[in-house]
Amino acid sequence: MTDQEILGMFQESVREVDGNVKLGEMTASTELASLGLDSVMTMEVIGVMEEKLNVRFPDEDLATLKTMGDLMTLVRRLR
Amino acid sequence: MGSTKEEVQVSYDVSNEFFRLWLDERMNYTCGVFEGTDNLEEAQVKKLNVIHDFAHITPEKRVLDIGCGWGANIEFLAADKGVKDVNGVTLSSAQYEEIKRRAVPNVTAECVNFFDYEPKEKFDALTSICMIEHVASPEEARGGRAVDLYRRYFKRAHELTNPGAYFGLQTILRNFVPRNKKDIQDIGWVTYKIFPGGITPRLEDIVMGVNPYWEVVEVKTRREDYGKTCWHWRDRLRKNETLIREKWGNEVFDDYERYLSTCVTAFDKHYQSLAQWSLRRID
Repeated sequence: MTDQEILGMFQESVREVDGNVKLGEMTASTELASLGLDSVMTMEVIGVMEEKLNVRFPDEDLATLKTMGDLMTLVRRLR
Repeated sequence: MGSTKEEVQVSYDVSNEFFRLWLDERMNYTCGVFEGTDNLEEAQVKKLNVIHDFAHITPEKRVLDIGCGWGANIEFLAADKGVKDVNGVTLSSAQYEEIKRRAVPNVTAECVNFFDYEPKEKFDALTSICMIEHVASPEEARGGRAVDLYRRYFKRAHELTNPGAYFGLQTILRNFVPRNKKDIQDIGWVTYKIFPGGITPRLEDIVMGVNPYWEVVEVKTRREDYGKTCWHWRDRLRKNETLIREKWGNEVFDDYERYLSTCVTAFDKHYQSLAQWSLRRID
């Protein structure tokens, strides 16, 4: 998957969890903490992405996710 | 440093009579072992036997039970297994009162924080059944300090034992983080409302924490057993609903019903598991 495909899937997953959340421009260096998602919503988004990708992200990897780039690396590692 | 005395009181000092209504007759507040039985009383005795065997306990050994609850394990060791020098520590005043009420021969107990406990003699065997969940707080775990705190616990256990000692340990385990809002919120609610100041360890935290003091000889996980245990507890709680609402109020019943339902789900969905460990002292 390309960076853009993963970003697109992330944005779509956020919309599925909460259609009211407005995400601005995102790049690989965008910090997840800057997106305004609380910890519960972040886990819900992760769950939606796991379903779309048919993978399970290990919890220890999730604990170290800081940027969209980290998420991209994780997705590509598991796909 | 994990749960304070005040936080322990929230978890265990609701009322001894309240817990007696829905725990087994010995008042084990930990996972039973449902091997060849669906009966809670039998499952709890099987659990006590597993821990006894994992700790290599014999009647002449001096034994310490860390976090001894209402005394189920120390009473079992002294009365059922004939151990002549059984000792327990708990931080709960209500649990300590119950132990004194039981007045089991060859059993002594202290109401003290384990880290402040200064026995006159060392021990030949240790047991601890689901006390380590109070050693690190959620904030400390999130800050990456859990393993250091568990290591401090195992270091103290090492200091209190003689060479050749074994340690029969039981721990709840934190496995998968839930991905849906309700389950995340329910587990967070149980963590902060029912067991404030504590958090269940991850299996790898224990593996790291025992070093360099204890060798892991055997580990057995029992996720489904704990799910069954919680199902039995909730079943008995519900059967006593009217009495509980009358004596302790609607909030107590509703909170404990939600907590035990959350646990049934948590073990079913792999959010939580349970492990029994046989540890050998590294001399």
